[in-house]
Amino acid sequence: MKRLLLSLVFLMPVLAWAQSGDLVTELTRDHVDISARYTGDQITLFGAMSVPGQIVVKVRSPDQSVALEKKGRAGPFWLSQGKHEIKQVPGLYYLLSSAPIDGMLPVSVRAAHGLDLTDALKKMQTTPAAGNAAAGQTLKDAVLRLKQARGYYVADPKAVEILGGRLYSTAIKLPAQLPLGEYDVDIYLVRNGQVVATQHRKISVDEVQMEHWISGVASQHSWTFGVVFTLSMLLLGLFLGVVLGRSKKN
Amino acid sequence: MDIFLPIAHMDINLLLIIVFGGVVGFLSGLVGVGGGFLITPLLIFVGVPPLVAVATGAAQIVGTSASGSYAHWRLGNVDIRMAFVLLIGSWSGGAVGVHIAKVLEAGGHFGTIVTFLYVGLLGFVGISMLIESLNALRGAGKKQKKDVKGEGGGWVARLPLQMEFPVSGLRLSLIVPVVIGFGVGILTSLMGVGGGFIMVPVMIYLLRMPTKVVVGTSLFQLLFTTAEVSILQAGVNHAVDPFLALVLVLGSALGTQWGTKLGARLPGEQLRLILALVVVAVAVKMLFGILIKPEDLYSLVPAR
Repeated sequence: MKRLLLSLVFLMPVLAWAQSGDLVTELTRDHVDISARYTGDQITLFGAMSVPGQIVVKVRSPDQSVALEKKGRAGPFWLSQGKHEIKQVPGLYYLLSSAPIDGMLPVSVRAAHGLDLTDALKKMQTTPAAGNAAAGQTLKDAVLRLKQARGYYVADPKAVEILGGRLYSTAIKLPAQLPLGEYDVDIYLVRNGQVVATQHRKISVDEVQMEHWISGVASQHSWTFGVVFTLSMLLLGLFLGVVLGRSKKN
Repeated sequence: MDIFLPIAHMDINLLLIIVFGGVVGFLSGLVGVGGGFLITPLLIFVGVPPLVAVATGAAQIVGTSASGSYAHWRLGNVDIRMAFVLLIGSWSGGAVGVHIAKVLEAGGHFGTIVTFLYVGLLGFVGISMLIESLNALRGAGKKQKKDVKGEGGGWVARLPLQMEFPVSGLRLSLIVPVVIGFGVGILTSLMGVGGGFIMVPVMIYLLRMPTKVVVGTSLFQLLFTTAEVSILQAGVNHAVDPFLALVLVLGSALGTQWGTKLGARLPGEQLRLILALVVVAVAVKMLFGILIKPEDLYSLVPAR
């Protein structure tokens, strides 16, 4: 934290000459490595603004296709009644702000910048397609509700902290399972119902080492993987049986 | 300590999986069952997608049955000819089953089918074990066995394609073991079980094989059936998780040794009673899962 504040002190003079709205932003890290031991991560975003205002931070992961499964009643049972492939929706969508966004910006501006959680689903495609508009809306509502419940879509109006009217910071908390790729981080400076400055940052999320290699091999050379892995399980089983069996006798 | 499973796409507690493997290995050492029928539901309970649970279960059985098969083979307890004929059936059954699994998964019904199969299977196995072990505890179990002999063998003996099985001392139509193998192969693909619990009674009561040869032969054919299904599930459905399978094999190898040692000292009837209760409890838990109305009718699952 000390280093963070120190760097902000150096940023201040840079901002002094910027009369209209301007933003300076820094991330504590711009990459996340997913290894077997990865269980979630936190990246701090901090910066300064040239004029006092409110801050909105939008974090959007690459699209991730998921399937939506619907359960229904069949006799005494609750069973799956088929599923819809959901495409062109971000895996993760955060709207972190220093105050409720609907209080600081009119609908048209929010829509233009994608500052409502429902905007995450604007391009949503379903296969098989929903029969009519109402059914489509039901699917969208379900996706939004489930994504919010799991913490993948978050709107938090208290997440951004403003210090002394000019400095701001927020923690981007990433869950244990997250889509890979480049995450877009957009920072908006809002003043008098307008967006007066924006900044863009990227966070890259990648699998590292073995995990990347294994999931690559298992999907691209699935037959080779299957044969080699199954044989090695057989050998491992034999080996363990012999070793443990021998130690038992002694 | 959590690890990330690259195929299941989820985090899971490493110790939990070792314990699962250990418990199943322990039971299998203690009572002499394969234990595949317990690992799949346990994995589904902790959130592993049903198809990955079933496929990885098959891979795990390859590991755990390898040393047992080898030991029986060295002792000459394997009727290779019978095992080969059974394998013709179970390999084709396995291949058909893996494609059935693929179709069901694409339609979103795989989880449902697996749940029903397990509730039925575990309910049946658990309750019959419960009755059997309670009878044994009361000392009434001894006389029942001999009634089965005498009848049967009529239509089975008249089938074409008769063949000699010298190790088992049998003459039998090829059709019978091939059909049985086919059924077991499908079960392996859909449930991730070896099918020993079906194979053993069928070999003893229907095929009339000597008991000593039955265990070795069933283990031997089970090893190759699960190996085939494991390869196919990885190739066709991309559903075998290597980390998960590896940890399960390690856990169950340790559990088996421990279970075998303890099993030699404890009374068998009580052990079987415990196992029966565990099996019934798992079946009841799965049944409740589909009887109670879910909180949210929709759920998100990973797309394949």
